Amino acid sequence: MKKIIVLIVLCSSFFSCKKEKIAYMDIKVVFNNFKYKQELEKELTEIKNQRKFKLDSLEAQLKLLSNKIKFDSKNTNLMAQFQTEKELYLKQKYIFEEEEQSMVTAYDNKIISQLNSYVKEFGKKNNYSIILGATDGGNVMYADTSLNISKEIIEFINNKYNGN
Amino acid sequence: MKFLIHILFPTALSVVFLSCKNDKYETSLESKKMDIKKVEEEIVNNKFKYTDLVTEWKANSSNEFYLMKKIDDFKFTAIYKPYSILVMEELQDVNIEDTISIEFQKKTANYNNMHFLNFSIENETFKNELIKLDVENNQAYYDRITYYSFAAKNEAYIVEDKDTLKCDFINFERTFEAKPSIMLSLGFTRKSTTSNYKNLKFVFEDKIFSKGKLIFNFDTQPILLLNYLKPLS
Repeated sequence: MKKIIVLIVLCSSFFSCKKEKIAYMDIKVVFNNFKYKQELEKELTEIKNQRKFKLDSLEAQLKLLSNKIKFDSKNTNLMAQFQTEKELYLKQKYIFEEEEQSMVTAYDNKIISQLNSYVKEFGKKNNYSIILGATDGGNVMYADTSLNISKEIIEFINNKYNGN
Repeated sequence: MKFLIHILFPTALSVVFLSCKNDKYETSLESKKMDIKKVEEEIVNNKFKYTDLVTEWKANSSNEFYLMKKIDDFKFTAIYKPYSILVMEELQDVNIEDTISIEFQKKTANYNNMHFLNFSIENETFKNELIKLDVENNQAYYDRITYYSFAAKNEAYIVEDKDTLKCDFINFERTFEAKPSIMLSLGFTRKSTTSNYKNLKFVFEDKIFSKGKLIFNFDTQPILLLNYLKPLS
C-alpha cells in the first residue's frame, strides 16, 4: 500500500513539473532578416528604380518645354504640347504609384504567408506551447531576453525557405 | 629501290596506321566493358539498397524524392522522378538485374538528358476541384486551366549546381472532382548528361494562389544512385 502511495505521489509531482514552453520573437527583426523578404525588397527596388528613370526623363522633357515657353509665351502649339505631356506624366506617375502599392501588398501577403507557416512548423517541431510576437507597439510589455528566440527562428525560416 | 619507296613504304605505313587504329578501338571497347562490369559489380554489391530505393520511390511516401511544403491551407508537393523509374514503368516487370540490358540502356538514352518531376497543389479545407477555389466566373475558370496547361511552365525551373534549367514541358492532369488537387508533370532538359551534380533545387512560383516562391531542395545522392551517374555507395 505504501509503495502505491509513493508511486502516486511521484507521478503527480512529475506531471506537475511539466512546464509550458513559452518564448517570444521580435517580429521586426525576424521579418527584416527573412531571406524571401530581402529578395522581394530587392526586386521591388529594381522595379521602382526603372520606373523612376522613366518618370525622370518625362519630367526633364517637361522642364525643357516649360523653358521654351518662357521665351515664347505666345506659342499656342508649345502650350498644348506642354499640357499633353504634363497629363501623360501625371497619369503615368499615378499608375506607377497605384501599381507599386498593390505590389507591396501582394509581396507582404506572400512573405507573411510563408513566415507564419514556417514559424508554426518551428513551434511544433520544438514543442513550444506559445511563441509570442513582440513589436514596438507593446504586445509584450516585459520578457526575459533568454526567452527571445528570434535568432533560432530566423535560421529555421531561412533554411525552410531554401527548401531544406 | 623505287619498289621499296612506292610499294613497301605505304604498306608499312598503313600497317602501322591500322594497328594503331585497332589498338585505339580495342582500348575503347575494353574501357566500355570495364564500365559495364563496374556498374554490374556496383549493382550486385548494393543490390539491396538499390531495390530498396526503387520500392521506396514507388511507395511515394516520405522519402528523399518526396518533398512537401505547407503554406497556410495549401500543401505543395514535389516528387522527383528518376529516369530509371520512367524506363521501368515503360518496360514493365523489369528486374533490377535487367537494368544493364541493352533494351534498358536504349530506353534510358531517351530520358537521361532530362529531369522529371511531379508537382501537386492541394488545399486542406477546399474539397472541390481546386482550380475552382475563389473563382468568380466561367472565364476565370478557363483562364486557370490555360494557365496550368501552358503558362505555369514559365514559373518553374531547376537549379542544378550553377545551371538554371528552364521547364521544357508541362502536363496538367485534370482530375476534376475525383481528386481535389492540381497535378502537374514537368520536364527540364539538362545541359550535360555526363556530369554529376551536388545540388538540385526545384523552384516554382504559383501565380494563382499567391503563396510566393517555393523552393524544394533535393538530396542528390539517391537520385544519382538511381540514375547510375555516381558509383553506388
